[in-house]
Amino acid sequence: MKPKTEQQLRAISRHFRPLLQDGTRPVEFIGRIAAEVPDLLRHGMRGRDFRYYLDLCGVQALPIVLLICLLMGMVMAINGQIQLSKFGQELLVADAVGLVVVKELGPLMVALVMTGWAGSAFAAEIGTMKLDEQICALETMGIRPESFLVFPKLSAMLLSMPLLTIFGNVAGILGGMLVGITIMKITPVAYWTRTLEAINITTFVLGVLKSFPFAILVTFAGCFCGFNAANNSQGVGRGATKAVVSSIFLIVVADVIITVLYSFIGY
Amino acid sequence: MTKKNKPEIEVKDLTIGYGKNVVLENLNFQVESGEIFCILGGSGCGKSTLLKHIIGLYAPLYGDILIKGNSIVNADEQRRRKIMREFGVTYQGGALFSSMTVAENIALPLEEYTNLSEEEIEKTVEEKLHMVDLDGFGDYMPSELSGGMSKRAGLARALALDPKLLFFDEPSAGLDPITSAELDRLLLRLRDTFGATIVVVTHELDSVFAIANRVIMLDKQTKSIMAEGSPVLLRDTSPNEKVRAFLNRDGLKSDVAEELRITEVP
Repeated sequence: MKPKTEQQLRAISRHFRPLLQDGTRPVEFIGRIAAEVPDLLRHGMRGRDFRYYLDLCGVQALPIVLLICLLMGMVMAINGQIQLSKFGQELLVADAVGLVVVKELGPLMVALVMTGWAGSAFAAEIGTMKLDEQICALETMGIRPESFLVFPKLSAMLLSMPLLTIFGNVAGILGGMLVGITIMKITPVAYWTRTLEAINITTFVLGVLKSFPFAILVTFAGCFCGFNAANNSQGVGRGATKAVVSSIFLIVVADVIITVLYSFIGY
Repeated sequence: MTKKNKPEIEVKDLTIGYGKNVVLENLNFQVESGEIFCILGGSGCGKSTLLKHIIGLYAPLYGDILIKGNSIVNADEQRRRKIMREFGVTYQGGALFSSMTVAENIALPLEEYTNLSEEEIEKTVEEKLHMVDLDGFGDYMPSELSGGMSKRAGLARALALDPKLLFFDEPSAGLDPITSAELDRLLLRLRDTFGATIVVVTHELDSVFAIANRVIMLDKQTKSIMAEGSPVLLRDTSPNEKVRAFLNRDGLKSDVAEELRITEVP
């Protein structure tokens, strides 16, 4: 009986060991990057790389972010109008769209767009570099690939995502306003006044602040999946997919945690 | 009596592999200063894996590797990176950073590890490009280069910090005979003009006989070194039949002879 139990325990441990190793790898990855922060502060990073990623994650992503947030604002306003018209309170659509966009939808939609736009690109880029032995080349030059490749991306994301969120929020509100003006025949001034009454600067700032942890999660998930992609073309593809799926999951989990924390301070 | 120079590389009781799977075991050899040393063997015998252990990318299962007397196996992260800066590596496909131009690739180690001004870096880059016959290609992106040019550009980057020790992983693979011969000439020039020590992983015999001072031949079955010495001597006098067959391409010759016999019209 005893040997059988031992055998079963060993089988279970064999099954869980890889999972445990998978779980420790992201922690090790973050640790390796964190260890390089003092060096980064002393020497800075390559400006050229930073500018490239700022262009990719900021300037190039802006049109799609604006479009998606505008459309989401319109969708919300149309749905809100259907429900609120039953109570003769169409004007409250401005409050609902403003609050939901600024508190939740704006930061979340921008993060999700950036997951597909930047997170997958980071994973595919690093995965291909690994496949082409570019990562090995960096190492044998004495350069730590983790910090060399992650810091410019992370800095660009930390700068561009809050800005994109601000633009996204404005686009979302304008989307709602467009529906208010054209379908609900609300005057632009009335809609804008209601929106400003519903949201205040603290709500706006707290919403934008969410984009910092989201930027960190998208960058880390993308880079981690790239570094851990298998050394073949399918592996690179799977790495990009994993980056997107894990980013979305992490963003939603982080959003829940942040929302709960915000609820403690009454927002 | 002159004191013998310290070997550039010493491999001691080295066992390498992935996890529990041993690829090569109990390897002992030295690479002397100023020689071209080739690591030979059939496909899948662990040549490239051995190279990646020597340059410190992988940790061995057992044993030690000394580069200029310093253990790359037991060194801490900082020290290991310092040792790595003392040599240059050229990878199979060139491994140029695809987001940078050729000139930016070559400039990278100079920007990271020297205090040279922008003009001095530019001048050094031009010098290195000239060394590998790529004058005027500095502004090209790696995707615009042919296979042979990528390898030469990779070599120029490896030469950026003027290392006296160079590693090449399959330099002739996928190249036409003329480009391959040009690369061989370049390696000989690096050895003879700059006194570089060069370690080459290859199975291109023409290249081996043209450039190698000494070779080791790895055996997949015994997971060890099958032969060590001058390629010409090994080809002509090795007691090991497998070694002679490899270096004489005997397998290919007998296959061709057999084929000829079959197709011969009586």
